[in-house]
Order: sequence, then C-alpha cells, then structure tokens
Amino acid sequence: MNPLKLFKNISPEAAAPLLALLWLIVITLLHYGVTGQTHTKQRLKVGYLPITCHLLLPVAMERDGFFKENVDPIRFSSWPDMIESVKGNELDCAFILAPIAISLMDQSVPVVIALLGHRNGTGLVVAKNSGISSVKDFVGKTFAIPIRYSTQNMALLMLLGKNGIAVDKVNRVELPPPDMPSALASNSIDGYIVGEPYATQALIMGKGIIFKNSSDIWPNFISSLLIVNKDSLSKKRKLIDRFIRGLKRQGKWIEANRKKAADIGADFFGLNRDLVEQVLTARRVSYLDIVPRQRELDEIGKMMVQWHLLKKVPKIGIYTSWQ
Amino acid sequence: MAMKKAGFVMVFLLVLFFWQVVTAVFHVPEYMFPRPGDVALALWQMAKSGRLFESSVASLFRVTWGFYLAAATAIPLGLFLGRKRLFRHMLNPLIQFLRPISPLAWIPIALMWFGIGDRPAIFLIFLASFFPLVVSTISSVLNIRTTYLRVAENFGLKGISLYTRVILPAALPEIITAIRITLGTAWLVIVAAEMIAVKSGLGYLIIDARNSLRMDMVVAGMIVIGVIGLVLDFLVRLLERLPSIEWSRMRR
Amino acid sequence: MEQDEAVIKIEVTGLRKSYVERRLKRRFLSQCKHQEDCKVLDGLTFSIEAGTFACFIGPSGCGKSTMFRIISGFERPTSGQVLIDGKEVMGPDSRHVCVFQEDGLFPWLTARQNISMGLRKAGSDQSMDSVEEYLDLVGLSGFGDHYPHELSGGMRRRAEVARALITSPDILFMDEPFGALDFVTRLQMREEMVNVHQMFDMTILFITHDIDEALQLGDRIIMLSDRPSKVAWDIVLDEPHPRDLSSGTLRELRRQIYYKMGLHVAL
Repeated sequence: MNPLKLFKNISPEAAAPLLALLWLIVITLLHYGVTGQTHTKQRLKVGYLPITCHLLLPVAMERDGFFKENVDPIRFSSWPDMIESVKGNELDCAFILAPIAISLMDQSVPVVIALLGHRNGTGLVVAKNSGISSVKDFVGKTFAIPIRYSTQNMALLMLLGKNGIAVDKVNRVELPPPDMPSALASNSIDGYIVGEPYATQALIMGKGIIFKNSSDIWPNFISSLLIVNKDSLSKKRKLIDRFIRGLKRQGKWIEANRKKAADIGADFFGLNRDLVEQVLTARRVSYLDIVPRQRELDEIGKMMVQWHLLKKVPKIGIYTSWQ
Repeated sequence: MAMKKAGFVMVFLLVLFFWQVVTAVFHVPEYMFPRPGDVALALWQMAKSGRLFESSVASLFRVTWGFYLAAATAIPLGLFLGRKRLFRHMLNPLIQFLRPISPLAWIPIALMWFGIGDRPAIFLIFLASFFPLVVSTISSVLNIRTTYLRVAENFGLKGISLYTRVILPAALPEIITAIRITLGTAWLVIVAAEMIAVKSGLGYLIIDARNSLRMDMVVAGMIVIGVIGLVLDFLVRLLERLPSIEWSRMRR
Repeated sequence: MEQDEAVIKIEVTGLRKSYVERRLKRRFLSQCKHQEDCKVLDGLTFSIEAGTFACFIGPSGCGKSTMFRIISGFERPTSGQVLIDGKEVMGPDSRHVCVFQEDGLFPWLTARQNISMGLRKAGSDQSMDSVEEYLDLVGLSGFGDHYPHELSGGMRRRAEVARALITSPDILFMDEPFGALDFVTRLQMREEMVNVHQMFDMTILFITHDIDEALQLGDRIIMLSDRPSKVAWDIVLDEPHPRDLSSGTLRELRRQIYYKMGLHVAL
C-alpha cells in the first residue's frame, strides 16, 4: 500500500506535498480537539509533584467545585523542572520545598509563601541489607536526597551533626523522589530521605525499613510550601484568596477522613491506593497547623546559611490577607 | 518477500517467548521488568481510555510543527548558502558551532522562554532538525553536477526559477535522505523533551508511569514510540521512491 | 540562407588560456612543472562560416573542451577574443545551445518535460505541440513520459539533441556527445546528425576524438596540436552525404590525419 498512489488523478509528485499539508492540518485539529485546550486567562496554574505533601490539592480538586472551574493543576516529576517554571513566571502558585522557596526569594524571584503543605511526612529509609543499625553506621554509605535545597537534606545533616559525624563522611546524591525506591532495590544507594509515599514504597517492596521519621529528627518538620507569584497576586487576587482558603479547609477534612483522602490522592497522583492509605493511616503526616510562621521560616533560612546553601537569610515574605 | 516477513514474525515471537521465560524463571519482580502479558494489558487499557491516542497525537503534533518549521527555514537557507560562497563562509562557523550542542541542552532556556506546553517542545524539535538539515542541504547543493548548472545557465534560468527548477530538484534526493535521518532524531528528542518541557505526549506518559511506579505502562509506552518511529521512517522512504527522486539511486 | 554561405559566424583570434589558480584545475597543473607551462590554448585562430558543420579533433587532453567552454561563453580566455556574429562572447546565450559530454538531461524531469524546458526558456514562439513533433523527430514518440534513467544511452542523447533543437539555436555546440555510446548506436546517431544539420541549416561545432566520426560528419575538420594547442591542420571537406569512408579521398585523408597525430602504424 502506497499512500502516494491513492489518488488516480494526482501524480505522486503532487500528492506528496498535498498529503504533507493535509497531515499538518489533521494532526493540529486532532491535538487541539483531543486535549481540548481552552486557555482562559483567568484560571490558576498550580504546580505540584505526586507526593503526599501536596495532597491538599487533589482533595480540594475533588471536593470543591471552585477548583474544578478555576484551577489547572500542572504535574512535575522533579524539582529542578518546577524551579524553571516558577522562574519563568509560568505558574500562579506552586507547591515547592521550603528551602527552594527561600532560595528563590534570595534570587529576587517575586514569590511569597502562603501555606504549608503539611507537617512531618518524610521518612529516612535504609536498605535491609545495608547492615545499618545506628547512625554511626552511616559513615561511608550513600544516601539519596531529593535536592540540596530541601529540608530532607537538612534533616539528614542535622541527624549526622547530632551524632558527631562529619558531613563529608556520608556520600549524598540527588535523585528525583520516584527514582529512589528502585535505586534502593538495585543497591545503588544504601538509603534515602524523602517525602511520602516514596519512603513507605520501600517497605512495601520489602527492600528497606524506615529508620527514622522526620518528626524524630526535627519536630514539626516542614517539607513543602505553597508559594504564590506576586505578579499573579496583583492580577488574580480574588481567585488566589479563594484558592488558598479552599485548600486550608481540606486540612481538617483529611484529618477526619484519612482513608477517603488517601484514595482521592492515589487516583489523582496515579499511585497505588494501598500505598497511600498506608502512609496516611499510619499517621506519619499531619495536615493541621499549616499556617506559615515567620519565626520557623527564618529558622530554616539560618540553617541554610549554616550549611552553606545561602550566603545570608533573605527577607522571607508571607502572604496572609487570604485570612 | 514472504521469507522476510516470516523471518520477522519468528524473531518477534522468539523475543516475546524469551521475555516471558526469563521474567518467569528468574522471578523478576514487576517493578524491575514487567511480563509481556502485563504490558499487553497496559497497552489495551491505555488504548481503551484514549490516553494512548491522546499522547501519540500530542507527540506527533509537536514533531510535525517543529520539523515543518525547521524544514521550511533550513532547506531554503541551505540552498542559498550552497550557492553563495561568501555567505557560506560567513555563517558556516556559527552553524558548525551550534550543531553539536544537543537540543536537550537547550531545555532550561526553552522552558524560560516558552514556559510549559507545546511551544518549548516544538522549539526543541526545531533545533534538533534545523542544523542537520541546513548542513546537509548545503552539501547536497555543492554536490550538484556542474553539467546541470551549465545547462540551466545555457537556457537562461536565473533567480528564483533557477532555484525551483534546477537547484532544488537536483539537490532533493540528498535532502530527502537528510529528512529521513533528521526526522528519526526529532522523534528521539521529542520523548526526552516531553519528559521535562510539557505535561502530555508519549515522553510524559513514560515519565508519569514511572512516577506512579507502573513499569508495565512504561514498557507499553516504549513499544508505541518504537512503532510510530517505524511508521514515520516508512513514510519518508516512500518519498525516496518518487520518480523525480528515484534517479539518484538508479545512478549508483 | 544558401547564399549566405560566405558570412562568418564565429571568429576566433589569438585565443590563449592558461590556468593559474591551483585548486581550479589541478588536473592540468599536475602535468606542468612550472606555472608558466600551464598554457592550455596557445593562440588559436580560425573562423567558421554560417551553416558549417565543423568538427574538432586532437589528442586527448589537448584542450578541446576548454576551447569549447570559452567559445560557448562558460569560461573567459586569458587573452584573445571570440566573436559570434561580430560581437564578443561575454557569457552563455540561449541562442547558442550546448550538448555536453556528460548527460545533460535533467533526471528529475521526463523526456517531454526536459524538451519543453528548452522551449520555455529560449523565448521561442513555438507551441507545446512542437514538443511532440521534436520527440517524434528524434524517434522518441511514445517515450515522452519516461524519465531519463528509464531510457537507454542513445535515447537520452537524442532527447538532449531534441531539447537543443527546439530552441531553434543559431549554433549547436557538441562536446564529444556520442563518446559514451556503443558502436552501433554511435553510427545511428551520426546519421541522424547529418539529417539534423541539413534540416535545420545551423552552425554546428562538434568535438570528437573519433576521426571517422569527424570524416563522416564535418564540412570542416580542424585538428588541434598537443597542449598547449594551436591549430595543426584546417581541412575543408566538400564530400556529399552520405559518405563512404572506404572511398579513396576519405581513406587518404584519414591516413594523413593519423600520420599527423603520430600514429604511423595505422592503416
């Protein structure tokens, strides 16, 4: 079968450019027809990663009609990609790691902090066959962290410091969270520290144990924040206020309906339901107390300076008028 | 022909057989490498939900636009540079400098300029196709036999009609070979680009399936990418068989 | 037209060509020890009357093709001049059509499209109907839709001659046009060239390395010497066509040409 010879009256020479043009039209129509991209300017673009730290978003999408009407969730699979988008003013809001947000402010990217994702919800995993029984055994081992600018990294450093282990005695590598369980399974790393459900994933795969929960290292641990772009704030203030209020409301509901919330989140993130249920029902996460406090954030900033992640603590802006 | 087809089917079945046997005998866990049956099921589920179609359309849309834009600019530029020595000597160092930079290295810049969506992906495909096409078009013009140019001069062909009636058709067989190779590269790049620059398409399907720890969907996505790549190559090969193109193969 | 026999069509005086630019003509340079040796043409002088079938012969590499490119306007001489109709040749002209040594048909066009290209660009007033006429003339009727690679070598040459003829040129330049053909086809083509010349009554400059071909076709035979070449011998041949090469006069002439070329063993 030769598509160039389909037409009796048209020579193959003439049919080739015609078919090429036809293809362009067909694929363009199909693309816009199928994905149905109707870009109305007044929708909010919100960046997130498929981690339980960002569970407020899917629950609100499911339960709050306003979100379905006005919010376009945009999924990322790694932090650096999301950082590029925030810097490019592509997103109105984003769930992002606290140290990244502070570092963005240090680089004068116009963002402010509006909400915390949740508290705790991070686990330090070690491989079963790594022979690690105490922090002392970490020496010479390789641990994965999501990115340098993460409270996960800082929690690991804090733990090493408390046990008197020099930072350079432990090998740290940056890995996207979804890659960590399989890296552990293939023995390329001895452990990792990450937001859920990727810590519990190692339990389910039978390859690792949760050595410590974030709350054991750092009480009231903060992982992600919701940041808001200042430009968007001046243009879509009402939408954003409504958006933040809607999110905040979900915190209490999740606490009361953990199993339902887990199912909503699992379906939205495309994760295994059992996995997310296990994370939420084991109460490794808390969605109460998600209003950001200046003192806490300044504290994180100071620690970042201490670990050479920042030169000085920038002015950390918090957006509060939604209340 | 029948022999060839039978041979192909046999190899295909053998690969499936070994895949099944190896994964079953060595108890390869699902998260390391899925079984053929799981992959077939994933393919079927994604086909039924329309996700496969949607992703393929998105990827093909981006490759089409990026590649068409590249061809529409690179081929005329290459024809012109192939004829004008001065301009060629002026621009060649720049082209040679930009050409070896992987389009993927442009991802951060593409994201910064175009944000997330179709446009950065189209831009990356454009970059991946533009430089190879310019370079091959220039060389195909330089390879045109002097006799054809003399005949054209003799018949008084000048300006645009010289390009459309002699230079382009004389260079076209080599240009089409370049198109075939470049389209293959573009299809390689789209998958990588979609893993980062956009939230739909086959590349995104794979990275998203990985994030959801669905290896069966990852492998299913890989299979679809391979099949579409084969079809694209087949279609461009048809161009090589056009009577006004075929002569270059006959002469060899 | 017959009474214009005495009109000079092409006048070549003191034509010299030497190659200096190394990368342009390495083929010649490799044969030269010193730069000043790289003379290809050394003062060619001859004139050709309108309507003449002039054949050029000479040892291979003697610069026949270089001369051909200069007269047809594709190259400039180092010194000397070429006048056609009393005007100096400054570049190629669609009234003076060339048939080159290599295949000059455009392979991406059919025989018919190739021939009608000559029609379009020469500013001729002939209609598309004449394309069929010319196809027929060179014995290619029925092959109009074939691409050059689908035709035999002889057919391709015929199509090329038809493409040249349809422009009704004043002068037809042919540079060893039948060199790549097999023996019998070559004989057929010679016969057709004689017919073409009688029918169209134009000036033909015909380069060949085949002495029999020159003897059979030419009203004039101009023999060039080895490089740097000059006119070695200028013969006017007044034999009627068709010519029998075994006739006394032609056989004697051939013997003399061979002798001048330094081939003493021949015949």
